Amino acid sequence: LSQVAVTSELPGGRPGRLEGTLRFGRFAAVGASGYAVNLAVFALLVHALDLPSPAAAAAAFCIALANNYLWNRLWTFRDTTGSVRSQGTRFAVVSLVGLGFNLVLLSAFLSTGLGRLGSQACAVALVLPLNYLGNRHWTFAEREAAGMRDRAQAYASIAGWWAASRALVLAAALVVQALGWPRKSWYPSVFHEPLALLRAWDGRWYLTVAERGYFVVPRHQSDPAFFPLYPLLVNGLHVLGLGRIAAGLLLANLAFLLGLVALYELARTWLPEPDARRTAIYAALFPFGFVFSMVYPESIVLAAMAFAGVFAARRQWVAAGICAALATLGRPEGLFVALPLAMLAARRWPQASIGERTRALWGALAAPAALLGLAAYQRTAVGDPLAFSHAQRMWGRWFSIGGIHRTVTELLHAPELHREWLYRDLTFLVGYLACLYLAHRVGVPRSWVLAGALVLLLPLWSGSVTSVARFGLLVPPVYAGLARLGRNRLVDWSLRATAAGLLGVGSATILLHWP
Amino acid sequence: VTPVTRTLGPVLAALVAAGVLAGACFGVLRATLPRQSEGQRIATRALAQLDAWRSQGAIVTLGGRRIGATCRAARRSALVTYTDGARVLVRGRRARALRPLDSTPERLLATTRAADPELLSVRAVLGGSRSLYVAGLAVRLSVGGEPLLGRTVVDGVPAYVLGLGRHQLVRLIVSQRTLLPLAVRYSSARLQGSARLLAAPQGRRLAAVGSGGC
Repeated sequence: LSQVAVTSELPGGRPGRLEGTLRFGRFAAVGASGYAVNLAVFALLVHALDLPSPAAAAAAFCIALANNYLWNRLWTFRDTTGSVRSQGTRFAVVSLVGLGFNLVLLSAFLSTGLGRLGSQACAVALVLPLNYLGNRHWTFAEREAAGMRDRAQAYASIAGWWAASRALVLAAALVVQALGWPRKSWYPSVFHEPLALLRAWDGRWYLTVAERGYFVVPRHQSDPAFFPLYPLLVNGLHVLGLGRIAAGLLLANLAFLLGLVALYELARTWLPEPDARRTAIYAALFPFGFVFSMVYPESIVLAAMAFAGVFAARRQWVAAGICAALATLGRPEGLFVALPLAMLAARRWPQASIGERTRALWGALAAPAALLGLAAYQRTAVGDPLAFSHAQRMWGRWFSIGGIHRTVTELLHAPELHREWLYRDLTFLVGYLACLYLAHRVGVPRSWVLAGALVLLLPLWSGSVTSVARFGLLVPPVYAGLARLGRNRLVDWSLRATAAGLLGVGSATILLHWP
Repeated sequence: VTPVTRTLGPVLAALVAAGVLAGACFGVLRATLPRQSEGQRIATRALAQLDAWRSQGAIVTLGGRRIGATCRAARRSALVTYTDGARVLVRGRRARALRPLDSTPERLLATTRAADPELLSVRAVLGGSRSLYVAGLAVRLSVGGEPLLGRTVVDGVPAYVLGLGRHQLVRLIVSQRTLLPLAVRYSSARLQGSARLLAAPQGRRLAAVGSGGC
């Protein structure tokens, strides 16, 4: 029923409740036809042509979605006026994301011994609602032509900066590998494994989780400290036949493009368009942003957090909740997106209907609920519901009241402890806090600024400032604060040039110290 | 619809839906993430058991000879002393040959033989040095390998055979019931040896640190 209620508020033509219900019915009928097409094609490919399950699933998925697109355009959303090209592109994006989930779930069900057809049936049934939400709220949403042109220009500009910044990071990583700097013995051959640098440090741990799940080795560094979304998605691409490292790199870099677009959309809810565009461009060029190209989940989490904010601002609470849950399953920082979502829900509460209140509150609770699900899983997998936190001890981090004292002591004695790299993180921390202040001044909602401050300052109570530079990458208002600085054209281009230079240096020095 | 219903209804419904989401996350993770094998679970528990276990030494069979070894803790290290006079100092995963205290020609000869790196490692491992078993098992688990190589019986006690390290040249045999070490085997192309481990008595386990065991 809640789906019906949501459908009645479709942006496309704003239909009434009855029209919304009918549209939902049509969408469900098209979905059912797609479901049947999917199963029929899959059965044909598997049984008649004896194709392997993943290839058959991919082909069946594409054909079913083409079927769905055709019928949804001609029948379900017949009063929308979007061009086939832009609508088709959005439809393809939604389809690819759905395909990723489809493959992850298929491999999971196959491993339970359910059988190929049964596994595919269950996977399709679970993925269908995700496709439905994506298509309803994005693919077939009505847009004003002028607004679309602006957006297309902004997206093209952001994509250009994304491509340039990623080319810089990948080139720097390739050059230092070819030179064997700073330790020739660390690198495999460029021809054997190019870009090996980008899977260094925590990348190894995420790949370990993907390969063999969670596992605690007593009194040794163990992988439950690393959150599961990214390894799951890596496994999803791995099912297609891609190596895990290649899958991780592809995923991280493509998700970063998605993250930049989401960041732009989020910033547009806070700032004028030029500032929003600069927000995304500065994020693309951010000196520590080489992490977004590594086998790390940061880019996916940034995208999920920003989309959660965008959907919540548009009162699409279910989508916002799903994104918040995904962000939380990606990194612990994702949990903090619950704060702005809760504030938006609270603001909306007095005018909202009972249905919207339920969805809004659910959206705010989604991130903690996802963390609860992870805790329950780690309880069964390794016997400790807080394994994700306890495992940090072996890296010298644990939360306590006196943690801040340990952090200060470590900083004061950094030279004697040969931890001069802590000053890098400290410098970034100071910069982040300054940007948060600017973001607050420029009008970014307090809840986002507060969530950002928590992401930056809470780790100090775990006994170290190390890696705070990386944690700060997941604070969207930081980029908005920088965008405020860049309103002056000279400052803008100085910032871009400096950031690009530092990004190249940062990429080349990955092996010297963990990010 | 009363104001109470307008407030409590959504709160309850959202809480239930959040519970469903938590359950869904749990279900997806359980269905999709690989799980550890039975052997890895046994090895993890054995690793935890090794914490409370101390060795007094071992009865070693090496190169067809049967020889006794004692092991005692010495300044964050373990000192393994063989009855033929050879002494090996083990610190973490490193072993170093020591000169015998009473250097008779026969004992000096034993030390010279022990300077052979592989023989030195074998003597350290078979002498009952706990830290080597901990390190070997941890490495085996960290690389994601399958540590459980099989089952056996030692002096009538059913036991598991656990491979240590990357290459599993060393095999630790632990009781199926208590998961405490019973014996250790070494097997390479050049050398074969085994040892029946002598655990420090129950009441002396903690006291064994720095006194009798290692």
